Amino acid sequence: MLSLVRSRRRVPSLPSSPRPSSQSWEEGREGRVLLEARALTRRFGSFTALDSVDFDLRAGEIHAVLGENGAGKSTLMNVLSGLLRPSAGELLLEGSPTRFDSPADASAQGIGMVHQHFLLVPPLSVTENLLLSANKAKGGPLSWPITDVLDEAKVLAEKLGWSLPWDALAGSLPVGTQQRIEILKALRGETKILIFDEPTAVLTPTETPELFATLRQLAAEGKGIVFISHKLDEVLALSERVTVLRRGKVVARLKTAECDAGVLAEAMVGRDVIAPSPRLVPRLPSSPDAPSSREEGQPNPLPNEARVAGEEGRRLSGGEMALTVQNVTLRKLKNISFTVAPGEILGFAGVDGNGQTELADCLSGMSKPQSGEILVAGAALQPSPKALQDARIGVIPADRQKRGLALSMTITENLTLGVQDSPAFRRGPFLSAKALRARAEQLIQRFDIRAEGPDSAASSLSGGNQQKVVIARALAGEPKVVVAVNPTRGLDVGAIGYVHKALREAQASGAAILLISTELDEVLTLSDRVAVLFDGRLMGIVSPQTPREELGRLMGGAA
Amino acid sequence: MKLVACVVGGLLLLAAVILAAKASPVAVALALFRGAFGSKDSVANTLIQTTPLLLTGLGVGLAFKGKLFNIGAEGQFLLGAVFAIWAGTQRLPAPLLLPLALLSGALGGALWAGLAAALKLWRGVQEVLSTLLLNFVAIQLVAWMVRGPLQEAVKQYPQSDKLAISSRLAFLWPGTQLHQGFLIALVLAVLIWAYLAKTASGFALRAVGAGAEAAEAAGISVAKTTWGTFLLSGALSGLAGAIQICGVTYFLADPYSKGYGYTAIAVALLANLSPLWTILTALFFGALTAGATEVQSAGVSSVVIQVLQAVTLLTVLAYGWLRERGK
Amino acid sequence: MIPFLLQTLTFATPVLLAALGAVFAERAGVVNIGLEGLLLVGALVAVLVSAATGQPYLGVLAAALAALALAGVFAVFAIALKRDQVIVGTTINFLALGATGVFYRSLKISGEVKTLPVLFGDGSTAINAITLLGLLLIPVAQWLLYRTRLGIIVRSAGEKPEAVAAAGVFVNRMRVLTVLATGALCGIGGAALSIGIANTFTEEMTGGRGFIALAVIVFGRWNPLGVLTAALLFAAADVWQTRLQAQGTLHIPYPIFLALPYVLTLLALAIRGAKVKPPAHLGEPFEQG
Repeated sequence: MLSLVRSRRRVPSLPSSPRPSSQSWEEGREGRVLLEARALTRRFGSFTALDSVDFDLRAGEIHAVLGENGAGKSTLMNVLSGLLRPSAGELLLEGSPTRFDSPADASAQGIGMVHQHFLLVPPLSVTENLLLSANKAKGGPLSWPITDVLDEAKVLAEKLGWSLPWDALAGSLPVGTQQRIEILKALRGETKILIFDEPTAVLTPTETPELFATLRQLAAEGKGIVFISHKLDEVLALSERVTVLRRGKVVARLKTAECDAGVLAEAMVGRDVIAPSPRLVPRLPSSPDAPSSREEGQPNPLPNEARVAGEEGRRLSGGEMALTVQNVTLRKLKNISFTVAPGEILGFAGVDGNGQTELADCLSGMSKPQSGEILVAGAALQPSPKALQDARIGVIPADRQKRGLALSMTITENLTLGVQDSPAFRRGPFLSAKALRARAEQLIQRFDIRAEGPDSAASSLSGGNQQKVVIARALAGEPKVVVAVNPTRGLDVGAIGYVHKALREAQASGAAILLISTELDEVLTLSDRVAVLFDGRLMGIVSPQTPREELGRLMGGAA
Repeated sequence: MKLVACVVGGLLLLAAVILAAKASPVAVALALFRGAFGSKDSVANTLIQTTPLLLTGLGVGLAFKGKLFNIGAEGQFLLGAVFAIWAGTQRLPAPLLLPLALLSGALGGALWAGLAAALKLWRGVQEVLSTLLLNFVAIQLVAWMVRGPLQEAVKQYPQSDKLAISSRLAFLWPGTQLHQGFLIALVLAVLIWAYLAKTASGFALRAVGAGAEAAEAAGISVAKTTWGTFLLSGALSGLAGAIQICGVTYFLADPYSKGYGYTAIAVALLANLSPLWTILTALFFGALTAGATEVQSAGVSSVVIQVLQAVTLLTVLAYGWLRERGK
Repeated sequence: MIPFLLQTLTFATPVLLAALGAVFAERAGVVNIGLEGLLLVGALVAVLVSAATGQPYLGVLAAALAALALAGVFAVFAIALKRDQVIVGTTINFLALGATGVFYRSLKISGEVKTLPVLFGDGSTAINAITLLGLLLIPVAQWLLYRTRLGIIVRSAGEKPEAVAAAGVFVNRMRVLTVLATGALCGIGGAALSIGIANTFTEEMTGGRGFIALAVIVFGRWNPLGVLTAALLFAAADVWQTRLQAQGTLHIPYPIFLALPYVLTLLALAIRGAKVKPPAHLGEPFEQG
């Protein structure tokens, strides 16, 4: 088995969701086939996103579609829900060929879609949101069939055991509740097939089992459920069959009961996977190999000290902490303290929305903490982008297209961002074009940015190369601290490997790295220590070898 | 090819409007040309009209480049004129008066644009609305000035006193009215180009325009840059008003502007916001404005120029769309 | 007091109609700086047709159609071709300003301009059909926006167009519809100005009312009742200054009075400023998948 698979470790099923043996695949097979795709192919220009994919869904089953980012899951889902037309292949709905001209058309034919990014209108009430997507048969544009829609929704909600605040504004509700509204929207009387796109990505750990219960109930009623995910444990816990996609092709079609995490992981990542970037030997003389987890002289002892992976903790001899965060509070973030040593990667794990954004804002200089202190190499820092540059902190922001890059500017100009005030590139009020261009060319080479030239617009680059520009900027000044926020989001496998390698190199050259990522695998693979955030609080700092059940509990707020 | 199609389309539309107004498009075109280039005087007039269009066009272009929809060049131009006539008629040593008038004009324009900047940054008011409304306030301000504080000493007409000869811009082309302001505008076009392309501050302006959040994250203060862009943009339009006072009219009257500040939008957009191209597009619209004086003889009102501006903009917009689609 | 209110209502009508239409457009995600031009075209066409036919209501109809056609140009460029809405709107203003000037001067108004018949009242308190229409449209607009599926679609199109598209509605068609409706209403508003209030056409007679309408929308928080309140407020200031001026009781130069509506609008925006939240996707083109 490859090392990546090993790094995923044994993946337990969620404790709260034992797989019901009554719904084994053998029984599911008896359900009639609701939807079938034959040799489905979808090309974008010369790129084949779906390559002759066969897929079928039976009534009463939960069928998982598993794959890494970019494996073709989204494309398959978009074709099945009518958002994209297939380039070749055919779709059969209950045995007869069909086509979906639009999502509305697919929905009229009984296919409901629950998107990862909710399609709710925030300032409209729950009921109004339901009305927006209600069946047109309920009345024309000038009608107001609100009681009709509400009654129907209430019946459905009651069946699922939900009580919903019908008059509340959709935008004011917790994510889990918003998802329930999305499910209600997708579940109209005639809906037979429900497609869920990464439905747990936005949920808290307590909401996830509730969603799973709902999915099981819907399947038990005879609906076919497509569950798209890249999380092995969820697929194992929930589905009866799983179709694994890799690079647009079906690489495995399995009964879930007959496979384990290892099998799925191997199918998902294949042999051509890039192994997790190996730890490089740090150049720090004083720290031969040691990850550090518990530092001396830390002014505020962490809560949950016991969780600190003591057996791994080896102090860097006499080294000063590169980054110290003391009792920082900002909006959701409550009284966070931690330190990062030079040459160390501290990963932050947690479900999205538990304070990561606030932490990233503080440490990228976009917001000042409401209270608390940030120290860089022992000196207090008033966070601002400028102060961060002066303190040699490199930032890889979460949203590379908005915060990372000015898309309409050239690569050279984007690489100039951040050094526009540096004396090395200034002659009085003027920028030194020659020096900046030479630097850009050098960085393009060093970070392997594939572009026509330094004068290409950033918008013309692929996602991976855009991220390389952002990384080049963050790492160019040999930073003492690197703050990386979801650095591989939306990238393909090759680019992910590249990003990990770049972070490893920065680590080896002595930078302290703070990695904030919602990809737990990424955090566990790269980090020397893992900090867990829940509800804005630091639940503990643990070893990356900590069992996942334990991590899951921490991420779910259990102390 | 696409460009040709767009231009032909625009010309056809224009011809249709002129025909509908019961005039001959050919006669109108000839009259326009005669008015713009028919004689030494008309060429000079074209350049005289180019001057305020170039300066306001630079101002608008600069703001748009920073993603600020400053469509208040008209008001900033008027404030520049008010400030210039006020400063230029002070009792001060004669050699001081001209530079003082020009600088005051730039200051006036900057102040007017600064109001919009303050409203945007402190109160979140969109500059599109505030700059537009400030144009109307400026028009009334001029009307009041020439009837009140700045009215001529004899208090006969709603206009100001004339600038002394010593505080006027000198003539550039003997035998015509073309004044040195034209040169100032040309020099500023080059300076603004250099500012945007070569300086750190100009880079900041472009970066904020291209992506405010990315610029902020890179240590560029978006607020400061926004202030700077507004003030510089307003100063250019204000200077245009001051040069109009010191080089063309020598006094303030009501109404004062021919809508230069609005035409400036077309000038800047046609130049694709490039300062150097703005010289050419200002010349184009300057020629149209100068030519308009002759258009009346072809049986159509000189406001046909406004239609021409609109059609030019539609052509630019359609061409932009075709080019994007072609990619 | 009553005469004052009635006159205020009449003065408010052009702005009110323009703003009512634009509330729908802005809710759907389209900002139209060209209201001024649309009003102006309506004002001229109403005068021309009313003079030519002797039928003021025919003038109103023609005004609505002409402004609708011009709004169509806006829709093509801003929505179909996805050009920047502010720039297209500005272009529409140029076009209207130039075209009305050209046609006004070349097509000399022949015959008497029949003005809108007075339904009741007289003199400065006279109420005509358009004023009444404006008033009646308020509850209609309120109902459309908050008590119909159409209203939900409009409100969603500017807040989360993807959700509208997912519900099987063509967002851009929806937006075009609101832009055209704005055009028609502006045309009628322009007619109210020329053959209702001024009884003639003069160049640039709208004097920024289209821009005030935009401010009224912000002030009225993008809903019809709010727009009515704001429009009345501005009109009241206008009427008040006209009256004071006529009485000669205040010795303030008239340009200051004329600047008052704009200054008030600016003040109102500054006060309301940061508190008002426009539709989340106002001014952004939408690509239907």
